[in-house]
Amino acid sequence: MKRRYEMPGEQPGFFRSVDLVPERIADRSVYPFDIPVLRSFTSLDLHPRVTYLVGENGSGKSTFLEAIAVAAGFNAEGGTKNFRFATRRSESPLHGAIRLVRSHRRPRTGYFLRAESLFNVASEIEALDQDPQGGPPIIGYYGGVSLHEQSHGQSFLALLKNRFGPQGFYILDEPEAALSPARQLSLLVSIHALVAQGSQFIIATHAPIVLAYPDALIYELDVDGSPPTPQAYEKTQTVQTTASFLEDPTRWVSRLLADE
Amino acid sequence: MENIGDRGFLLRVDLVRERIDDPAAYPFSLPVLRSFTSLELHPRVTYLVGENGSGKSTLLEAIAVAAGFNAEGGTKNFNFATRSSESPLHRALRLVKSHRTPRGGFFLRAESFFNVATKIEELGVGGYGDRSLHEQSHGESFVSLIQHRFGAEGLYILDEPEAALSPARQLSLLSRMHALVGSGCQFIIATHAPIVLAYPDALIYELDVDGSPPAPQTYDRTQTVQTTRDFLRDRERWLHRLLADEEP
Repeated sequence: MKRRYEMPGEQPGFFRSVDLVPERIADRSVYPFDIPVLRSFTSLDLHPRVTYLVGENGSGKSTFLEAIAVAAGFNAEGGTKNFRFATRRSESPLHGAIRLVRSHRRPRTGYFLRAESLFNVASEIEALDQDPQGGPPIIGYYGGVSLHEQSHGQSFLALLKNRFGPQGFYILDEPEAALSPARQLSLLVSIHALVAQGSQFIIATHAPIVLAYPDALIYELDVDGSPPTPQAYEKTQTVQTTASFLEDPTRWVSRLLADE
Repeated sequence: MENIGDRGFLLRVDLVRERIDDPAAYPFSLPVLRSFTSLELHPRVTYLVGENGSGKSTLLEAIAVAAGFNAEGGTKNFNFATRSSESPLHRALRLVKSHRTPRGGFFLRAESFFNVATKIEELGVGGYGDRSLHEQSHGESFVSLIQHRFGAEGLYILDEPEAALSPARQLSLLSRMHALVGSGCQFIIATHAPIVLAYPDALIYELDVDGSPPAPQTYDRTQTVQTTRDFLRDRERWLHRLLADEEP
């Protein structure tokens, strides 16, 4: 696709690839090593700016994303806390079998956003404000409106605007949850601004709008366990299904409901 | 379709102004409540759509609590009794009921959606084979919930059920809704997802952040459908417009 917008100069991402280390896997028939995405997985090249994971429910992309996050030094529970790219122990055995290949660049900050935490953003922010190294209190950015009086989507966008900074490594699991299409467009704009400041993203999503950042690599994970391969935006299942549905919802719905 | 359940369990939601202490205080200050008086419910499916901040989740929760659900979601103590709750809004709502009484129901909150595996274990729903629910994705757990737990003659209040569902699973949700509607169920759903919004025998209310009263809207004219459809028709132009303004 021909680019018409300005893109930042080429520089490597903090992480270049995710490798699976087979000798660290005790038993491939045991969860989480039995998730489809791992069956024939060896390595995943990361885009210096945005890497997307898409795929059907059950393909294992959230489990995989969590393992990447833990291997990168985040808490499995999400957030920024103790974010210092150290090796750390965790409940998830998968991250131990993953090796992240780094570049010379080091992230200055980062965030692992789990889909769950989207709906607990108020508590997230309270937790962050208790972190003395976390910068100025976020609560101050809300203009006196209690966080509990904001919708999930509003709180999330406020978090993103105020807490996500330059040179950050961001792992987002289904950030579209609770966002209207208009807010998903705002998310793209925020991603663009952060990318321009040297940030790197890995994003799992089902949302065609969230998936649309142009300078990106998209991997479609398959439930049949074939290795993740780069996919063109237009050819992903999520875009094809949604686009085709919206071109003729009446035909889709009558076909879908006629069998019942 | 037309011969079943000529009336829903809930016919209408009224706001009783005398029960509001302070209209300037949250949640009564929400845009949706500013000029709200009454909302007619469709006997089968009523949708609430609208921008983040319009207050649709708060309204949905108040309807659920007024209908006897726990504010936390789920089926628990589902008995249409008056119950106290933290949310003051439900006390200002009056639900107009028909002669039909639901035999079951579920209030699915977006939050509880992500704890659905735990929920299902609490409810003791079987039929998952030997796979632990915690090894299923959120989407899979939710699909299991609606397949196994949602039954006939139920009142279902769903807040953004699309969270964690792929478009293909959203289509499955529509089919399942259709089967449930066919066995006398009534749904009230808040959503941002064009596919989830597409059940044809339904009433859609678009809530506005400017506080105009919720008015029925056609599917094609909702913001969510228009934005998503336009975007997918001409992504290049949209991206150019969106990203060109940002200084790289």
